[in-house]
Amino acid sequence: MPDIIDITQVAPVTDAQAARLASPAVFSDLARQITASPVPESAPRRMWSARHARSPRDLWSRRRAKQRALLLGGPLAVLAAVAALLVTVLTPGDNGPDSQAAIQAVSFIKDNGYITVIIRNLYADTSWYNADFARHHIDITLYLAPVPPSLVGYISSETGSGSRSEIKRIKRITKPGSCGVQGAGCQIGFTIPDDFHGQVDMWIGRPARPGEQYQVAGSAFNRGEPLYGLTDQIFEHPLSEVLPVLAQHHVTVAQCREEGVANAGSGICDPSNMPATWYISDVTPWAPNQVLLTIGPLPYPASGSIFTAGEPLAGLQDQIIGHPVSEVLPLFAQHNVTVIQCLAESADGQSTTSCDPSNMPATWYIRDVSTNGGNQVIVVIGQEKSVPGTGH
Amino acid sequence: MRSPPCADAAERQARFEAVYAANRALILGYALRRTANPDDAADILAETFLTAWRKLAEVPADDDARLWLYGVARRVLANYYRGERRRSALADRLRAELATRYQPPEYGSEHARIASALARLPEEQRELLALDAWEGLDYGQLAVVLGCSRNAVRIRLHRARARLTAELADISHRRDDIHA
Repeated sequence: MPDIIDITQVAPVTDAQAARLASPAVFSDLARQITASPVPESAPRRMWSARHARSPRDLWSRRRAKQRALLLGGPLAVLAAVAALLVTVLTPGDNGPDSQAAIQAVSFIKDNGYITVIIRNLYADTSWYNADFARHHIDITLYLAPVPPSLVGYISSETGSGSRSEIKRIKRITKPGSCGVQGAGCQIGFTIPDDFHGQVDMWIGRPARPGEQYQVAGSAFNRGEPLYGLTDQIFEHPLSEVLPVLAQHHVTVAQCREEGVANAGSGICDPSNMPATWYISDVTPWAPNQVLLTIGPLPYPASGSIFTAGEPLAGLQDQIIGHPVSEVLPLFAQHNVTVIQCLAESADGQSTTSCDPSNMPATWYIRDVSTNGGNQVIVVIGQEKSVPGTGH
Repeated sequence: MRSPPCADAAERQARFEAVYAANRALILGYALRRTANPDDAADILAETFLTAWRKLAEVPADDDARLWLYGVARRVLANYYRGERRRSALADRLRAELATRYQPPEYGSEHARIASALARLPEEQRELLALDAWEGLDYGQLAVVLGCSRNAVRIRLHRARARLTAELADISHRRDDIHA
């Protein structure tokens, strides 16, 4: 294996040089202009989707915009708007936070110094829950995000201004599979101590309505997704072979992205016009039965985890990672798994060189295994169990 | 790992200025290394930090801010590649100064070959090698900036390096053929 080429010398400029390309006054001037520009009202945070930093359609900012439109300028109008809000909260209306529908959507139980929140209906209007939290002086904002089937009911919390130790006081309650197709009958939620202080945003995955775009993507190959179990028919096959497979499983390609072309063109490709000889490097759920494909001229190994349910080495992670090659090879053979590529990781964990899959040192340790599609894997081995100091 | 919100405008300003002071040269360097164009680099710097100002609550503390900013700069750069070059009035003075001070690099023949080989790589591979060598990110940091798993980083970096070696060998052979 040839030496790694050092490209540091061809960097057009170093950071130290960049620092000297403009005077401090000019740098400061830019900062001053930036900070003079208005800051938008704290908008709901965009969801981070699995890989692609595209802008998801954000339901919440639309709703907020509607509310803003109702506010006419001036102090009297503000008072009137606040009064209206109070009225909504205090008197049970047909569709307010104290309505029958709301009570059925969420239960909010105070007991013994704890508050338990159970979401029963994933299609509920979360302004009801959020009003409840506000009433109890708890700074939690709940969002329901349309997600693919494998993420329905998944609870995530993102810190707002709360400290990490406060966040840890939130205990999630999940009952996988409890939510029916209509998003009702759920038994998911969380428990917090009633002296919880801190600000937290939480989102919970709910089923997407037909045509609704997912806000968080997850993996297209998880259990429950249309393409579950099909990685070996999708990766390392040209598009001409893969598109029929997608059609067979009633999956349409809504969006296309290119892995990268030398001239860095638009990056956005036309799903109805993808080169038949190209390969797929990633599949991201986009909307019910729709995916975003990332394609490129070279074949890419599948990127799923070999240890998830349905994969050949499901549940065997503890018997493989950190174990010597001599122990793991028989396990591979038992499960019909073949190693098609070997990477030997350096002592500092910062570089890898190729090793011969049929001749791996028996005393070296397996650090990582990833699927190459079907029963083929790529293994990363190292002389020590893990890179010192990282636990990886 | 978000940082605490700012109690008031002055605190917000101070926080932004701290993040800006610590990272402005890094982001400018990042942009220049990829565009080799001082006008565009100035705009990318301005737009990246404008985003940071607007979403200051999202900017992580300490060194992670740098990674967050690289992520933003990458997206701004992607727009730039798509032809969405927005000349930002904010960056006028900076653009003017950079134009006079920035000198495009001049390479000896060996470095020119390496630069040439690098340019032939697909953009994703080139970016991976650049973040590794020019920004000095380790696997964990690369995974954060690129939004993929650490293992994917390992494998892709290995492939990118192999590809670079192959391109360089190809260039060298061609050069030898010409001179033979």
